[in-house]
Amino acid sequence: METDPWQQWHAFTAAAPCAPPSDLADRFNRLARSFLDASTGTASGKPPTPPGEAAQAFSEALRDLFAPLQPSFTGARTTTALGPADLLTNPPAFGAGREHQLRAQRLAAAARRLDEAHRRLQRLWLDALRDAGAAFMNRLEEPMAPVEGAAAVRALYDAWIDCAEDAYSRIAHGAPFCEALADSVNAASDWRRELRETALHAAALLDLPTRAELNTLHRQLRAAEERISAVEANLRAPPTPSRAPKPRAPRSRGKKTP
Amino acid sequence: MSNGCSDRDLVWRSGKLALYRYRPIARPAVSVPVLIVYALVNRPHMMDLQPDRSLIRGLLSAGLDVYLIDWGYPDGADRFTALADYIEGQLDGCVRQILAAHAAPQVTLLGVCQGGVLSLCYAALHPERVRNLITMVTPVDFRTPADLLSKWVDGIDIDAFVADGNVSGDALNALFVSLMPFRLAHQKYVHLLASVAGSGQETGSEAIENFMRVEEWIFDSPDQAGSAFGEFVRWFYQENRLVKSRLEIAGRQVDLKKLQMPILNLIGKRDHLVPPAASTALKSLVGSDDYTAIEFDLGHIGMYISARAQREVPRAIAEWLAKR
Repeated sequence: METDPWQQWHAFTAAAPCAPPSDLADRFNRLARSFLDASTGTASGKPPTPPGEAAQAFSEALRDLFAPLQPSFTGARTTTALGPADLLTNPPAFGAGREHQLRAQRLAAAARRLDEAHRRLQRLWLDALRDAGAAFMNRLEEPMAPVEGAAAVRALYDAWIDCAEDAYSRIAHGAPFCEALADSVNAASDWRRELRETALHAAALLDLPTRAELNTLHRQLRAAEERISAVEANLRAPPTPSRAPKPRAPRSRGKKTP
Repeated sequence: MSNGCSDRDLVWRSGKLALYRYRPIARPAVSVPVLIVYALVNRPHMMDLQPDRSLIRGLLSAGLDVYLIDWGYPDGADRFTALADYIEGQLDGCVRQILAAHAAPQVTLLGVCQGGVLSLCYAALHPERVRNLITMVTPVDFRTPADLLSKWVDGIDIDAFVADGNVSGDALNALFVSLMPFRLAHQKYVHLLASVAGSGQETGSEAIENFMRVEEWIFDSPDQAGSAFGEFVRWFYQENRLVKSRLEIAGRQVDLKKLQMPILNLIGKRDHLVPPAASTALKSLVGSDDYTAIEFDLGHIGMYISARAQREVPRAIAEWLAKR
């Protein structure tokens, strides 16, 4: 494992699912400097761009810049392209392979629902970026304290993050987002279940141990452990004080007579 | 992989669980041992990250006798481990070990985050073994308006999601980052770069090391035992059973009114994972007359590692314990 912190940092950013933050930061820096230059007209020598226009251009560029940052709630994006599987899933299911065809159809249906839920999430994410852009434009129209250089860029950056996080929070707390997220997770669960069933079938054909068999063993092992724990607990428990035996009624050996 | 910075001894092991006792660094001030019950979803060394960011070191400096549970990394063999196993099996086993070692009747429980929920359950089931109960950034009411996680999991079919398997720690990390994606996936890295760029080589290197230590901890998330995870989401987040007094662990009702021991509730006012209202609900639910809540102007992780937390949190705990 790399021990140098800088190398670790580079390894970390290289493994990021979207553009690494340092790259995004560089691009933000360029956009912010363009905005500041256009607002003041300092770099080009041209007259300053009207504040509204500069702010709108800056805001729209930021929405494009941050669009790929959309979080992946299921841990990894799932491709739902079906391709040759369509041949199996589209015709009605009957015949010798009916149950396999049904499973393939359920798998395809789950993939479609997952795709649809992802699209809804994507739309809501873009809504959040749109709202963030509007809030950011309003913020830019407010008079800003005179700050120079990197401090000005950082102030703009933090203002953008505040706007983006506020807008996202409002969307994320809303029912449409929560429903789309739940649909996405539930569809992913169904998709995974059908995929697992397919794998179980293949494993059984090859006489490989299946998850179902392992689960049975786990449950049996767990039951055995519980029994052992109960026995150990009984052994640890202090002995209950012995009671004097109750006097027994003398047992009649003879047969009862009426 | 870091395991903390303070000297400690392994005193008990059960399966993947390890119970550690920290070596004293100050004269003993409180006789009742303190057992820290950390969450299942992250590793407990956040309590002892580095010498200048260590809640445990702060407690040791105050003369407390500190134990810590490390739940370990569940694997496929733990998929049917349930909450009852964690609470009535493993946590109970740790308490019994400590009581036996000290020949004492009671411990102080310090539950952190999800570990606070486990501690509440344990203390309600076994009040006779808990002298004091301290909860830190612990959710109690899981349905408060600011609780984004509870809104998100509301419509999820948790049985289908768990489906007899463990839950990936990576998926949970993605979920937690998604709560504040702009800050957690972007801003903090940019701020790191900015702070490093504006400092000298030595200071910058130290800043990166500190940052990476936290980063390593954040993304070192154990997979979650499937059964326990499913129960936790359904019983607490979806059904809010703790508040409704409808929670049963191993067939016994968890009645928070049985919490009549002194209780200290430590709350982060800027906590985005456990909103303050989720913690403050505890007061009206417990049977204790000796209830203290302290709010810190800190976020969830700041409660463990911020400089302010180092100054204020261990001292608050030690002073509160010294009076009891």
